[in-house]
Amino acid sequence: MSTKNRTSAPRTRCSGASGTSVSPDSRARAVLEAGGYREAIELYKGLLKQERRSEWLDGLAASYAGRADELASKGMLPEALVVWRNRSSLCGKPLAEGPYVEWLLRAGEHHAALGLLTTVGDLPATTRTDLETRLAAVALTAPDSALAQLEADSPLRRHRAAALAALAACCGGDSADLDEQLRAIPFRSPYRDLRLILKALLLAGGNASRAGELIARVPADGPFEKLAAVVRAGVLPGTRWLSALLDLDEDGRLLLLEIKGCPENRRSLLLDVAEFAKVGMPPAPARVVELLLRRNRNLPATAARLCRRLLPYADKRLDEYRSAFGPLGAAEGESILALAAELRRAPERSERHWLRAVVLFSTRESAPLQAALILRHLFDLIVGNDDASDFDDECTGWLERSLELDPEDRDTHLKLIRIHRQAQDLKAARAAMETALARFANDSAVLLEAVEIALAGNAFKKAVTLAKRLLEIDPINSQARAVIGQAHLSHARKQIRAGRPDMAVKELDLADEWLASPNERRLSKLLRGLSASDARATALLREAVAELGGHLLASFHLMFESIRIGRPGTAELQRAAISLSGTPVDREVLAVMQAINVLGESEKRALGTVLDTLREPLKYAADGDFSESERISICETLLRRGERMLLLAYADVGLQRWPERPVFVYLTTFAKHGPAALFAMSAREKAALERALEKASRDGDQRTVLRIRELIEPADFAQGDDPDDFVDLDAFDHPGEALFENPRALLEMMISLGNEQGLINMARDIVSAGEFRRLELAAGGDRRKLARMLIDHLVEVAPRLPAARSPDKAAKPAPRAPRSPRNKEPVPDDRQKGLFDD
Amino acid sequence: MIGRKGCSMIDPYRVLGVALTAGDEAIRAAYLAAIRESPPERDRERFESVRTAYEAICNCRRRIAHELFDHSSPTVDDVLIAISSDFVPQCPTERRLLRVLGAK
Repeated sequence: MSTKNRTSAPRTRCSGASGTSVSPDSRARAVLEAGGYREAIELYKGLLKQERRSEWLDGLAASYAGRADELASKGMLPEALVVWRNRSSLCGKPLAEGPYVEWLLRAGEHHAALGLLTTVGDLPATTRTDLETRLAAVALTAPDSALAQLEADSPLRRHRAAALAALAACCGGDSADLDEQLRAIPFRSPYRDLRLILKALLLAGGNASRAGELIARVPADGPFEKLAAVVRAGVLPGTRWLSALLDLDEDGRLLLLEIKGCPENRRSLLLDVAEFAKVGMPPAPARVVELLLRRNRNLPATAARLCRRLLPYADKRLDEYRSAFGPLGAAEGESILALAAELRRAPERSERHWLRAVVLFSTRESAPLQAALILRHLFDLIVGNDDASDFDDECTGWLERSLELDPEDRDTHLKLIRIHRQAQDLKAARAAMETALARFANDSAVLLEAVEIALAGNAFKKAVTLAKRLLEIDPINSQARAVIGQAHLSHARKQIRAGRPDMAVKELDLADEWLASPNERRLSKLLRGLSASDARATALLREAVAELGGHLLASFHLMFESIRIGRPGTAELQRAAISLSGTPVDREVLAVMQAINVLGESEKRALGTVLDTLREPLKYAADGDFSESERISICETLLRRGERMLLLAYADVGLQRWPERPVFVYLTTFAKHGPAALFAMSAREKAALERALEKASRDGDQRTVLRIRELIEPADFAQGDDPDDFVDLDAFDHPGEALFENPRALLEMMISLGNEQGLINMARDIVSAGEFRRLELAAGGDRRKLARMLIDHLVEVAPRLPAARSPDKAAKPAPRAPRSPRNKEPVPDDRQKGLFDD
Repeated sequence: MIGRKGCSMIDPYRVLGVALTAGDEAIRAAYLAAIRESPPERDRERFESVRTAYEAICNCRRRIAHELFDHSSPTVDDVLIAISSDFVPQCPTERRLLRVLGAK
């Protein structure tokens, strides 16, 4: 701007907020920049009345453009168009620039839009081509009268017929005709995008991937963008097209639903489902049922099937379902109600409905399989992975009944056999096994189970026969080979016990053919030595002891085998010339622990007898130079076997060597006080445990954390149903009082902590030897059963004990398994005979 | 138990592309074809879903169990396919097409 112009500028001054004067020019600029377009228009108009300066004209044009934008964004398109036209006429700006054409199209002023091509005068070639392209869709749909205003050689007129013919071919599904018509649209035609869009549209139903490739080549925001958007949505895989459906306008949605083949009466349902897809979360089953029932008219069978499948989530709508989709069988209805109860975690209600369904299914000729499957499902639901013997016979009966209905299910046969075997009901196990073998005579899993049952019943010959049959079917079954060797060893023991050494030797010869490991062979030799008492046998015995390596390990095996054949172990120790006076080496201790770990639960008493002799040498060995992991492993073995005296010796040395290890703090405390340590430990010990708990938490040693917590915060107290039950914390200051307030709860707590052995050990000190022996025999070697019988006995005698503080108060009922435990007589098992007879 | 609450399971018949009335052999053939098409090294997710689907309906007992006990939550796919199984893709009508392009 020249100095002259600046001096001729209006002299009017305004006062700004700061008090300084602002020229009208600056004010207009400031108002424009601040978005005050209406005021800016007036200010620039005022300035232009004084002088027609180009920058003020630009300012006025910018103010009009801003105002028009403002109006368009509010949907006031006609007003915006008027303002834009004022901009063009008053400021001398081209009309067909900026958003004007778009606003014309949006306002539906197609005639005026096409008119731009004739009224805007001589446009540059590129601007004209661009304008023609933008108006292509308008030209295609405009009436012929509107097209007449265009020049005859305008491409919009020249190619329009081909474009319309292509549209018709596409709608007719005529691919060849479509290709023909599209070839008539040149590459530079304003209609060029149609060539790809229509091809993709025709392919969308049958070849979505090819259609996707074609539509991907169409630039966004082209003249046919609305149609392109529909095709883009239509080729999306899975449910993605549903989400895209909601992004289209009404016409676009209808077109997409049309090409997808959606009938008119299902559009609203599909839009509801599209809302689910848009959210991106799986729909709530009850909501789906509601939708399907609400819009059930003319739905296909698949929708009815889905609705039926989801009825357990909306079982109150069974009647609505019936009236919408047809009848449901009574058995089916019961199944739905049973599943609904399962979902509400109401097992008893579920059981009731399932059992009704079983009755209903059983009456049908073709449905015993359904009934059988329901019974198995019910067993899994109620018993699950728990010990089936904790539940009443009805649960096992479900499995038996299911096999009557569907005897071909091998896995259920095996499950039933194992349940009987675990419950030590060998008679029932054998019966179940015979049924299974009748159907699956050559099944290796069934045969292996049969071998186990034969062994459990001391039917060694039968076990060997079955195992050999199994080997014929599965020659590389190493488990069967091992079982045969063990069966011969067991049979040899039986013969020695019966005083038939010749027969025993024969069995040992047979066993040697199958025994694979050197240790098993040494045991065989040991038994040969024990089979007789002559010099040759004694030599064999001593040879076996030497091979076993170390007197501690040899004495362990020798005593064990002696007990198994019904002889006093100490006498055999002398015959084998074993001396336990020295301190055993570490390797031997580890080997003994390993041997203890492989012993079954039924050999616990024998182990106790053996350890009576070995406790002292094992205790001397506690100072051995074991690694940390070895020592922990030894402690865990002793803990599992309830050998608290030995545990204390090993854990205490561990704690001295690794004082920072919380596990040794736990093991030492447990060894000293047992599972009821909470009531017996000193304040110092409790503080040490709490420090160990913190350290274990920091170290991430979750197992030790849980174990310490169980010791210092017993679960039954910490998670009682009603915390008010335990508000009187003073009661815990006097464990004796607490015990006699509710002895059953306390003793049950020990079982719940998995310390049946601790309870048994404690009871052994309280209950008379004769009574203990009677209960032990009645329990038949089942530790858990023995623990529960001891609880019953202790609860019964507690009020009579002199220390009882509150004999008049009744004990709370004990927490029980869902059903009363089975009360079957223990099945005689010869393998346990030695344990109870001595 | 098949189809516990909380897990979403896409219809195994649809995953394998077999009819509800398909027998063991047809289902096995469909399964083998599907895993040939989507081996685990190529498409682990698809392979897993095919295998899960096959395990759910591979024999008569499993199919009945699926029918009896399945109450898995539906996916949007399940719902869409259930309500659109009778859709037949169509060519658009000219009127609808022109309306999308802006015709009054």
